[in-house]
Amino acid sequence: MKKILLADDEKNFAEVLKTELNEAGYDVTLVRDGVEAVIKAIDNRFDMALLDIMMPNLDGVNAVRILKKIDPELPVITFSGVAGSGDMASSIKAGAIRCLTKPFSIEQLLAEIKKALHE
Amino acid sequence: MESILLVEDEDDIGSLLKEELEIHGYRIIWVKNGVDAVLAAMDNKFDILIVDMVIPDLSGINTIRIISKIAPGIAVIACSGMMEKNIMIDSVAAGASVCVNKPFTISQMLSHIRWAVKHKKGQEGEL
Repeated sequence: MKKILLADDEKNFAEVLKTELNEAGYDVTLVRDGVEAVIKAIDNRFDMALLDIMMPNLDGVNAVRILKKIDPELPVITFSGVAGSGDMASSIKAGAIRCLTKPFSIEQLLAEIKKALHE
Repeated sequence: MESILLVEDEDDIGSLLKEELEIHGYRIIWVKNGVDAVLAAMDNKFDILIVDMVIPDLSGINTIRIISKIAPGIAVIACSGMMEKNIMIDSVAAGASVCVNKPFTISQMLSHIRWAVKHKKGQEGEL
């Protein structure tokens, strides 16, 4: 089972996403901020990371920079709440493969995950 | 030569500390925020981390938490202009051996460095 690190401080959104991804067959570790995401990634190996940009303690763009240093092969997708805010460019520059603008459908996210994991 | 990762966003303090510690034989890498500190700690092996508690991008406490995880043997000195009791407790819980109030003299910092290294080696010896 592929392991996904999910970091998002919006509790309801994150819980729904975790449930949907579990149902799609992924093992999801949910954390609430960028610092916890980095600490989890130091201790565990993940196949993929999904990060919100706007998070407390450490924002998503800087979390991507650190996660890609820990595991340069890790595919990372970020979420931005504001289209055209520059988050997409910053995320990609930091090493993310894709930045999705919220709201997005679970089907859209699953398609991106499968593409990233070559499934 | 022992190496120090110095995290300080105030230019005058950072440059003075770097210069003085180099004179005393330490190798210094100076960065100005917590994210660059974490990235530097992944690329280099450091003996000592000196970190201000109020820095951009990532707080001093969280910088200590992450770097102590990456480099468990590093001796950590936390500095603050207002080292309140809760900050001290959080710093030590995160991995700091010493909490230092600003301003400090170079001789005080040198003494803190020696103590932090000794304390860290003592901790490792207990494991």
